[in-house]
Amino acid sequence: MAVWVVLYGIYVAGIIYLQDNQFDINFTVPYFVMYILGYMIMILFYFRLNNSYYRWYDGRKNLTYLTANAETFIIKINSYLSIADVKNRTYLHEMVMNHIWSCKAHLRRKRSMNHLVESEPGLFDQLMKEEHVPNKIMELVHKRIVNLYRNEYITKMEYYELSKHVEKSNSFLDNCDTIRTTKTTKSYVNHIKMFLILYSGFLPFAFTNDTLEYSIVFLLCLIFYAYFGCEVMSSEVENPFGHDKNDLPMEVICEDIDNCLKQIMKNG
Amino acid sequence: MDKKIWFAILFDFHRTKTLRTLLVSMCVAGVYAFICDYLEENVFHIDFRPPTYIYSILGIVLGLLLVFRTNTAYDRWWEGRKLLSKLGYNWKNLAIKINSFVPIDDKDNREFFAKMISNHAFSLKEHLRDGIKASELEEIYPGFIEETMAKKLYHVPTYFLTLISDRMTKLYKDKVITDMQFLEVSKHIDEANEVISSCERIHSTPIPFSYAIHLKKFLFIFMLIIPFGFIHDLGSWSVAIVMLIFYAMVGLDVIGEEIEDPFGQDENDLPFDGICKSLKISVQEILKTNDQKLIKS
Repeated sequence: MAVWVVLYGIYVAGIIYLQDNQFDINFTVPYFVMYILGYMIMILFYFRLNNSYYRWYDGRKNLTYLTANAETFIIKINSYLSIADVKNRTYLHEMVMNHIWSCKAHLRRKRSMNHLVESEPGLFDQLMKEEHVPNKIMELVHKRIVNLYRNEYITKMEYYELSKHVEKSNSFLDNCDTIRTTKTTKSYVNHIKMFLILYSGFLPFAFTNDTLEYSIVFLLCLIFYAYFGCEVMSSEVENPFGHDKNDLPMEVICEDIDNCLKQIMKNG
Repeated sequence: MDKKIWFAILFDFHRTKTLRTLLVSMCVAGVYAFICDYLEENVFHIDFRPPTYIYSILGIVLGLLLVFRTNTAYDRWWEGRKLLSKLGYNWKNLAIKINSFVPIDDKDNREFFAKMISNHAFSLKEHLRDGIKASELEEIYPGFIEETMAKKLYHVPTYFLTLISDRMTKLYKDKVITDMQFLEVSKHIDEANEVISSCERIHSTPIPFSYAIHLKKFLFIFMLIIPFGFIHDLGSWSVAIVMLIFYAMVGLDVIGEEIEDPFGQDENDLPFDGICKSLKISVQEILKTNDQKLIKS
């Protein structure tokens, strides 16, 4: 970003130099034109900033719903299954946590079994074959719930409650996926970029009437920096599931939910 | 501010918090303007006079960033408020249902739900602040609070929620409530947990780092160059103008930062204590745990 600002500074300085020394271009943009365009560009950028921020925040919200859903699921498992049934309790606990970790890997377009627990033999081999790991895990969880219901470990209503959460977890993950895969409308972004380039290109000509000083280079760079920074930030924040400083702290969120689930299971 | 005289806010100095927090920084900005003026007039004579309309153009950019900042911060504050009312109505609905489902003389269950709901709300409040206050919690059975505190729980509100869910399942298994009634009350566990997680999200997620820092950088540079717009014409009077601009612009940023996390104890924060207390009273009222006639009979 700094490079572009410096380049823009050189451009402005070049215009001023040419104007002062080589030829009298005699082209001055009236400054109220710059006002009008300035207001327009402000509105466009407001749209852009807001849009990308709310996309980021939407990603955060859906991640919250995803973890809250897992938590509720485990709270219910804890209430419904008797404490003696260690096998099913640990299986479901581990699988739900596996689901969260695999969602993280999935949203980062990775296929890693990092943090996952092999709760049934051959689970990892099975998962490695899958295109969509979280789906497979939820499928296994659902299968287990159906099994519990058939063997009358849980009642009809409890089955109904639990299967609702499987459904929900899929929809929240899909919402996150939508944010990850859908780019903002190209034509808007391109229009705004083009507008910014033209606007800042014409900006030095608004000052050719004055006794030009090179000090103005700094001020124009500042304007360019502010708008250009908005653009760069917006495109950075648009996909909130990466590793950037601006992206969501997925590692922390996952660890937090891990601790919560452990607490629920331990104190049941 | 429902004062009869609109100007009364001027004399409400102790309540205009932004002005108080900014006073020192405003003075620094004023001193900076004064030094600029002094050096320009007596020492350097650089004659750096940017055309005035460049400030207007810069002002547009600054307006953009500030309105965005204000909007997002306020949005969080409002979302926090909505979540708290969701917490309230969710628990009140549960209490209403429990009241209808559970026989009137089942004092044990009624008291359990009334106390647990208020425990949950109060523990959520303190979880978002600095830690659980045992004095606000209620005993389900003697020694309950001590036991809870001794467990050194990672997340107390979730623990209380777990207990509520356990009790609901027990009522269902003991056939105190029917299938459909069980479904009805289970719904409220989901909602309550969603509220906890969402409140935590607002509390723990600041706006993206680069957004916050971009505004601050720009604001800082803007404040550095603003005196040169008028020191040549106004001399020492520019000190007052710089202070005014500083108050208006930096003030917005300060407010944004303050209301972003609405769960504290500031004047601008949400009345969480009051909401918890009123929830506690309504739930007790709905479940009739304080009804003297019932307790005697």
